[in-house]
Amino acid sequence: MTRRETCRSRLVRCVLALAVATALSGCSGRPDAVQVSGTVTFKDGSVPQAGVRVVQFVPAQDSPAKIRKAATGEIRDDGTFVAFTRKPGDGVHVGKYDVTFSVWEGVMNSVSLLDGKYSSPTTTPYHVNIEDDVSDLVFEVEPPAKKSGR
Amino acid sequence: MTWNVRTKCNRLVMTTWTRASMRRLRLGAAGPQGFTLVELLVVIAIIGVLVALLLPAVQAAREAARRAQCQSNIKNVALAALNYESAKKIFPVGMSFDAATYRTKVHNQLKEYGPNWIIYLLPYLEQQSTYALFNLKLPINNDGAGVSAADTRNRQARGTSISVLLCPSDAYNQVKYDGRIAFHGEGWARGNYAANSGGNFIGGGGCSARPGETISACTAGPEANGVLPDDDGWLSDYRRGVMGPNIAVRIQEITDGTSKTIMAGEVRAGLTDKDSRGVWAMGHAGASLLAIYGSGGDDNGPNACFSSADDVYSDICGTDLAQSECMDCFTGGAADQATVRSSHQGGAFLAMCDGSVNFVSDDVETSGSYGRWGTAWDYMIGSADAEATLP
Repeated sequence: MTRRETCRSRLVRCVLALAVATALSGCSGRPDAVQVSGTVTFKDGSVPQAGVRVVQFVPAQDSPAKIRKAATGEIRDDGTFVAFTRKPGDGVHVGKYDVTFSVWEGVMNSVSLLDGKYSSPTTTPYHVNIEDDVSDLVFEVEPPAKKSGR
Repeated sequence: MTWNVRTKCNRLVMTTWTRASMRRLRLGAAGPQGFTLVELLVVIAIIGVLVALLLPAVQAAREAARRAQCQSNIKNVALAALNYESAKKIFPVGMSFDAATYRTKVHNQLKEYGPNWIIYLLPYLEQQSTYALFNLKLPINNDGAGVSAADTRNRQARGTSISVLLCPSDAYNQVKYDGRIAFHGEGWARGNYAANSGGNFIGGGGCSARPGETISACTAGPEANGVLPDDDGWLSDYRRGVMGPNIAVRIQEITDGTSKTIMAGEVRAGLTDKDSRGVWAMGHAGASLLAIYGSGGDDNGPNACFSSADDVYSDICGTDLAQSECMDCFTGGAADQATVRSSHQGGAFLAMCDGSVNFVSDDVETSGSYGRWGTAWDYMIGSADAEATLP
C-alpha cells in the first residue's frame, strides 16, 4: 500500500517536473544572436565588381561574445549584405567586432581590389558593437592607394 | 536509474487497474460485461502518452550508439595510419596521380586516379583481401569511359563496402557513387573519413599564394617572409597538411605537435549517386581528402554552410537541397576544396595525428568566408605552424 502510494506521488512529481521544464524552456531571456545587415560600397557609391565580395565580423580581442567565430556576409550586386555566423539566418553573436573585407578578382585569382588595411582586424577603420538587430550598417571602402609594381 | 523506477511504477498501476476490471467481470450478474469504451480509450491514451515520451529517448539512445561507433571507426582509421607510418616511416600520400600529365589540371581534369591513402591503409585495417583485389598498376577508375582496358578488378574492389570506413550516423552512405564525370566509372562504395591535405586548394590557385600576392588570408607563412611555395602550397608551413596530393609528411615533420594537428576528419556522403563526396577509394577533395577548409576560402570551418562552399564533383551544387543540408558546392565542376562535415548534432569527429579522437564543435573559432588566416581552426589544419603568428 505504502509502496504504491510513493509510486503514485513520484509519478505525479515527475509529470509536474516535466510540465515545469517544458514551460521554462520556451522563455530563456534575451537571445545571444541578433540580425545584422547593411551595405558596402566605394566612396563614390559604386559597388565593387569582383569574383569574391565578403564582409567579415571578426570578434575583437575584448569582445564579451563567448563564441569567437567570425560572422560573414556576402556582398550582393546592389552592395547589400546580411551577416550570419554558421547558417544563413542565424545572425551575429552579441559582442564587439572588427570589420574586415575580402574583395578579390576571383576565387582562383586572389588579387585584392581593396586597400590592404581593410583585410586585417588591427588596421581596419571599422569596429562595431553589436547589441541589437541592426539593418543600416554602412561601410565605405577604398581601392589600393597605388598599384604596387611586381 | 530513474527510468527503471518509472516503468516499474507504470506496471504496478496497470496491474491494479486490470485486476479491478477482472474482478468486476467475474462478479457481473448476467453475461460477460467487458470493458467500457471509456476505459479502453483511457488505457489507449495512457499508452500513447507513454510511447510518445519514450520515443525521443529511444531515438536519442540509438543515435548515441551510432555516434560512438562513428568515433571508434575514425579512431581505427587513425591507428591504421599511424601503424603505416611506423612501418614505412612516412604517412601514405593522400592521393596519387601522374604529375607530369596532370600537374596543372588535377583539380578538374584528372582522368586517371592512382591509389589514395585509404587504399594504402587497407592492409592495416584488416582488409588484405580488398587490397589484393586492386590492380594498382591500373587507374582505380580504370573502367571509366575512355580511361583504360576493361579490367574490372578495380571496379569490384572500390565497390566494396567496408564498415570501418562508414559512419552509421550518415543516412546517405549506402548509395554508391556512379560517376558524375563519365571517366570516373560507376559503383564506388562510400566512406565517411577524409585525410587532412592542408589549407590549400588541391592543384594550386587561389590561396596557394603566387609571386606578388599580398592577401594576408593567403600569404601568412613563409611566403610572407619571401619564400614562395611551388608545390600546391605544401611548402607553406602554415598550410601544409598531413596527407596531400602526391606528398605526405613523416611524423617528425609535424612540428606543432601531433595532438594539435588534424590527421583525418569526418565527411558526409554525397546526397545523390552523382555526388562524389564520401567515396573511400577516390583520392580527391571531398571524396577522401579535406582541402582549403580553413581561412582564405569559402569552406571555412566544420559543416561550413556558405553558398558554393565545397568544390567537388556533384550534381546538386547550387540547389535548395544542398543549401538546406549545408552541403552546397561550387557549380564550376572542380574538385579541389572540401571541409569536415558530419551528421551529428553540433559538431564532428576529428582524428589527430597522435591517434586521439576529438569532437570539435561547429562553433570552433574560424574567420568566416574568405577570412584571414590565424584562427584556432587554422592552427589545427597546418602541420608545421608551431610559431605562426600574424603581425
